[in-house]
Amino acid sequence: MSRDAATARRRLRIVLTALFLTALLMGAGPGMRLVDPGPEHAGPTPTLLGLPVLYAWGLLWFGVQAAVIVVACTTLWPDEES
Amino acid sequence: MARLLAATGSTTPFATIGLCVLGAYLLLLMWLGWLGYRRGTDSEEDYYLAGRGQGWIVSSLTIMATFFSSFALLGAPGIVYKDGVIFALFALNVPVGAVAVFVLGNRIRRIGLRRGHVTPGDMVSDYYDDSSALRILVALVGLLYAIPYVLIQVSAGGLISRAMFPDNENAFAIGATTLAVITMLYVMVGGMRSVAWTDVIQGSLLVGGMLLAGAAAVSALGGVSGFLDSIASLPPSSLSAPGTSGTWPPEKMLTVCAFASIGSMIQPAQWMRFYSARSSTTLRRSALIFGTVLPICFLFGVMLVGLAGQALYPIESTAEGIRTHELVDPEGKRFDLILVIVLRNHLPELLGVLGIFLAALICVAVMAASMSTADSNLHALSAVFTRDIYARYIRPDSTGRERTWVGRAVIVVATAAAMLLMEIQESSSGFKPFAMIALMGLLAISFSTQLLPVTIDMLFIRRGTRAGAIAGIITGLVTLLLFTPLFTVVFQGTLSAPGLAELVDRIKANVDLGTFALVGNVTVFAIVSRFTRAPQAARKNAFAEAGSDPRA
Repeated sequence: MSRDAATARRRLRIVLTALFLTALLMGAGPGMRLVDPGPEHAGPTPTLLGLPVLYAWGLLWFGVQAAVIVVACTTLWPDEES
Repeated sequence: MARLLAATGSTTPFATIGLCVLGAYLLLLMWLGWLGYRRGTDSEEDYYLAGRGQGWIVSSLTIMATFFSSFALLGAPGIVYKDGVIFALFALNVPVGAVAVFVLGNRIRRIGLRRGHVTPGDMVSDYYDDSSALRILVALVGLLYAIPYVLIQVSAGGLISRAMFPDNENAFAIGATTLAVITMLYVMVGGMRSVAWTDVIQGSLLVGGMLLAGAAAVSALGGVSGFLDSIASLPPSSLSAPGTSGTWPPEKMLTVCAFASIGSMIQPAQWMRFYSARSSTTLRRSALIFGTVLPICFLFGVMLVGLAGQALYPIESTAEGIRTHELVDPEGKRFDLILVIVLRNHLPELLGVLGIFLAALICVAVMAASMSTADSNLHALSAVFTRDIYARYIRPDSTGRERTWVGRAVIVVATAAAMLLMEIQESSSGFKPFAMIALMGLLAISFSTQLLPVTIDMLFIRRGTRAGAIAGIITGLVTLLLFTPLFTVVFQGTLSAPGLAELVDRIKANVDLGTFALVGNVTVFAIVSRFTRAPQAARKNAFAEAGSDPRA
């Protein structure tokens, strides 16, 4: 593997790791406070596409996690097999 | 047939159709067990690792089926029913597990292949200078994970049976015994090959069952718009963090999601599945399926059942805590039953005979989820005992064939012990350590999470020492034991001391226990390793080379 390819691979690994950790922090961690209406919320519960906003938020970040896994599976991990 | 139906109390169409579907499923498992026996040999590597030749379809389904237990189909919707939307976000732990399947699993597979490992204890003790103490500690962690996990699966068999045959007063005992005995038989007869083949059936059933259960829940509320309207009108505490009971602040959910699935992935049964995989490609494809398909089954399937349950059978807040609706459980305690109740009461109403058949099929899927986890854990338990204890300390001169037979005996003893413990719990009014499936499952996972520091060190960092690993694992286990229900029962008087009780409660409320113990484990591991002798350089190099060898 050339030096450029190795550098690009290292960069991709860092980007994917950062994205995956961000998705975990935002979707299942303190990031959910950005949209969480809280137990004391009065009035109609906020929704997104009809779903409770917290559920929709989880789906969004799962999408990011899944995308990271698909990219890693198709680009990074096959290199470890050859 | 009529006599059999009468004996099981099958007086309703649901019970009758359920019994037929269940019977067909159990016969299929026995046949696969027999087939595995016919194909296999009596060698240890074949019995425990299916000759290290599993392809990606079998590997992905067996990893998935081992990961998803009654926790997924009964426990998770049960907590969503109790606490609301917040626990649905638990599904975000599954992609973390998928990454572990490839990143940890592939190195474990490569090193295991090169150095002939069969159990996790083989690898850990091999790396840390053939440490006997570490081998025993790793075996102990395996036992602490496997025993409660087998027990909650057997118990789930009883619960499902009770829900399918409510007119039979012995339904719980019959269901639990049937699940335990049939699982024991096919694991004992066919080893890893039978376990993996039955896992293919069980994995497919549980994926289908999870999605079908979600569709059933949506239908029960009148379709998508009816479902969304009903959910939107739930109380605010059910639609926000930290949930109705206040158990899930975001920090706790994060720590559970970050470490629960990694802990599940390095428990002995999964570890041995990495050894069994044929190649890196096998594990890469398994990780892809695991990380994309399974969270969908959670988020668009079984989690919706818990939410629909809240709309159909509202929970009650009382001075003693949160109770289920009386139609779910007259005692108000078994939130785990919500999936079965929603299916049994609403699917037949919507779809007639087809609904009864589908409800019965999903109940069998729950049974499948329980059996697929119980079989893997029984199988791993037998490997851990024979390889790490019997062959090392009881009969070092034993042949592989003898050890395989001892392993079979261990499966019988472990099954009998699980049934005995369950009987004690059922007949005792005060001692209920396994009362809620999901919470007990999380505690079992916390035990196996304590292997994470040595796993990472051995596979990637290689800076730790034998003394550090021993001290770290002991610290993690002791910390965790402080939080088990057993400790609470034994040391009730001590815990009533205000300072300690308050501290324990505060920790439990804000952090996943496994993560809390892991912090202590890593700290002690790092400090002790700083001042003690590192493993031999030759061994470190051998592990580094084997772990990154693309030819393996």
